[in-house]
Amino acid sequence: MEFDYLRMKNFRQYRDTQIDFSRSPSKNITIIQGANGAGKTNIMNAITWCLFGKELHIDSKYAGLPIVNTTTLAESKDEICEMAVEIQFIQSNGKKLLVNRTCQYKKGKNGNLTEIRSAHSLTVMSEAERDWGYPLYSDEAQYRIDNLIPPSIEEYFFFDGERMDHYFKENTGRDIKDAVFKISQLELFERLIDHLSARRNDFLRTAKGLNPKASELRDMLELQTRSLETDKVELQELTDHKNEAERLEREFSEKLKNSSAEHIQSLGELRDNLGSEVEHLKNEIEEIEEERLGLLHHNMPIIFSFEALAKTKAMIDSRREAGMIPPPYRTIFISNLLKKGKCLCGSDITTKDEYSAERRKKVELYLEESALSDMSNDLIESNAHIQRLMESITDFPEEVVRIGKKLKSLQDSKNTKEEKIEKISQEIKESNLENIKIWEEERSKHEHEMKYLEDKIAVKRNQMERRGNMIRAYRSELKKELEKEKRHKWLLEVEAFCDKGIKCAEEVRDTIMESMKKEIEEKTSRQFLSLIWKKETYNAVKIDKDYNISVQHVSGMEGLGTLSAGEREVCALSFMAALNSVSGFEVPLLVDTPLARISTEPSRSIAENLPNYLKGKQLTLLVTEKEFSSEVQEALSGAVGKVYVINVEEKEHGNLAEVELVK
Amino acid sequence: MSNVNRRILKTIEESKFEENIKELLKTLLAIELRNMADKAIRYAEDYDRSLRRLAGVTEEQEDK
Repeated sequence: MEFDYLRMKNFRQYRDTQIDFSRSPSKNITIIQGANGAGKTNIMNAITWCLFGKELHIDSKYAGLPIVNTTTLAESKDEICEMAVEIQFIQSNGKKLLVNRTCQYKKGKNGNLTEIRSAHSLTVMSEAERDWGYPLYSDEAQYRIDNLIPPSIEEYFFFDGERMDHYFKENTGRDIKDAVFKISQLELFERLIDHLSARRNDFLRTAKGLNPKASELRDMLELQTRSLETDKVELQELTDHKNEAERLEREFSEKLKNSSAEHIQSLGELRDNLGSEVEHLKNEIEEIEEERLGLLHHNMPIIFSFEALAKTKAMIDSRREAGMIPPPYRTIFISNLLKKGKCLCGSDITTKDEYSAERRKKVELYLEESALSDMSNDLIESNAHIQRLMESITDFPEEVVRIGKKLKSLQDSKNTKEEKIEKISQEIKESNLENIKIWEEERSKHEHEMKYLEDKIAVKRNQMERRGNMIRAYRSELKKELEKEKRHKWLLEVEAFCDKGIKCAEEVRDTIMESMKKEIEEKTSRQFLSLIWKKETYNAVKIDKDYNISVQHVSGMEGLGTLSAGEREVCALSFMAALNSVSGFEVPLLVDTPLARISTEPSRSIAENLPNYLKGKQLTLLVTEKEFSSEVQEALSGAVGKVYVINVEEKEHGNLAEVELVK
Repeated sequence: MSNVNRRILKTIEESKFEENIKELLKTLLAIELRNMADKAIRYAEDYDRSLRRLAGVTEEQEDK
């Protein structure tokens, strides 16, 4: 990117001035020559003001003066004075880019100037294929400019040569490293690595917080499911055994009932009937036990909190008896009276006199007493509910006793019948008939086995029900954990991706930093040694890992501290030029008074070497007549395309400057 | 429009990193450049958007 032209309208001493820059590939140096104070630095300021809205190289002698041309201001009959700077660039693709910043000032009666903020405008236009593209304004326009020439690195493209000899005095290795970071945008990597590390840590923290237990749960679920399958098989086996025992018990029971001995037949019948009655009693006992359980479930919470309920009720009752609830007046009613300042009886309660103030105090007392009024309804209603609850358990002891009695009676009846069955069984067993004895023993054996198996089946069913509940709970938990696991997995994968990103960013940063350092060192060294006039005195310029710059004397000693002001400037210029050339930004260079502190011979040497060193880079030098000596002119002649001279005209209200193309 | 230093972009392009890592670095650098110009301090949303797009894994819905 190169400067095409710069136009300044009413900017400081420039009333309406245009500078066309030399853009010829072989002669891309433009010289603007002017005496000290003529306005050279203000050309650089016009550029930074146009691009960034600030005069970044303002001289203290201009700092307090109006930015707008004072002569135009004084001569103008209008109250409003407009100022504008326009720069046209030619981009690397050959297309034009126009930047225009305009502002207006209003003259006050006492000569004060006020900028009209609303009139401040920035426009950027890019040339498209056939015509100009849509213009960008304000923030969008600024964003475009900042992308082309980041303001943070502007000072490495537009700089004051006269201050260069202080560069290594004022800037430590750290500052120089910062400069390299800025110009190469390596600081972007620092931010990127910081931010990506922060995101990575956040992802990791969130993943740790999730701590999914899906795998553990999956194992538990599998174990329980397998156990349930085993339980089912075992249950089936138990049921089969039980059915077989039942069948055999029935078979021997039938044999006994159909035996030839009538006495045994009737005992068998009786035992069967008693057995049915016992079964019936068992069912009845179960129902009564459920009833008792229900009664306890319903009444126990009230029984446990009975004391608290009784106390609450007593408190509410005592307040009711004392007439505290419900209060005679509602809070809102009394508040309204106080607000209106008029009592119910019509008396004034506004405190305008001592009588009304006293009456008001009395009414306010009612307000205090009525504090419970808002809750009184709730309290009265709650009290009734407490009363009902307490009454509901009045019959509880009798009910418990009644159920207990009934249960005992049923248990007794069942026990009696079971004893009878036992006696019958014993009687049959003691029969003199051998086959009857054997049948009864067999029947009894199968009956015991059946009961034993029934118990085992009940235990197994209970176990299976618990296992089923556990499996359902594990499944529901596992579903949640699986969701967590998926998120956990995603978080860890993104965390790993961030980690890889950080490592790669560090690698790129280190690679660029190392190669830039090396390149800057080489270029600075080469440039310095070619520009310096004491060719045999120095070997090289070195940059260490902390970016401390040293100039190596032929003796092997460090020579930076012993350099003259001119040599220091050459060294700094060499460094700036090296920095610039490795920056990766296509921004033209503009150097103010580059040779002011350098004597004739070294100046000639610099002038001879500079074009080669900055080959291809557009360069504008703002020089004094002394700097642009005949030797320098001769040395630069092959590379200079345009030479301007700033002519200054002294006016009553300030100087006016014009640039004149002399070559 | 991103104007990350050409040298940086070239180094990233010429590296042996996987394509999604190259894309991530270029995207995040552009975000940092824009944030620097805007003096913006918030970055997490922009970063997460790029990470979601380039990490090569599908994000699962967050637990409510």
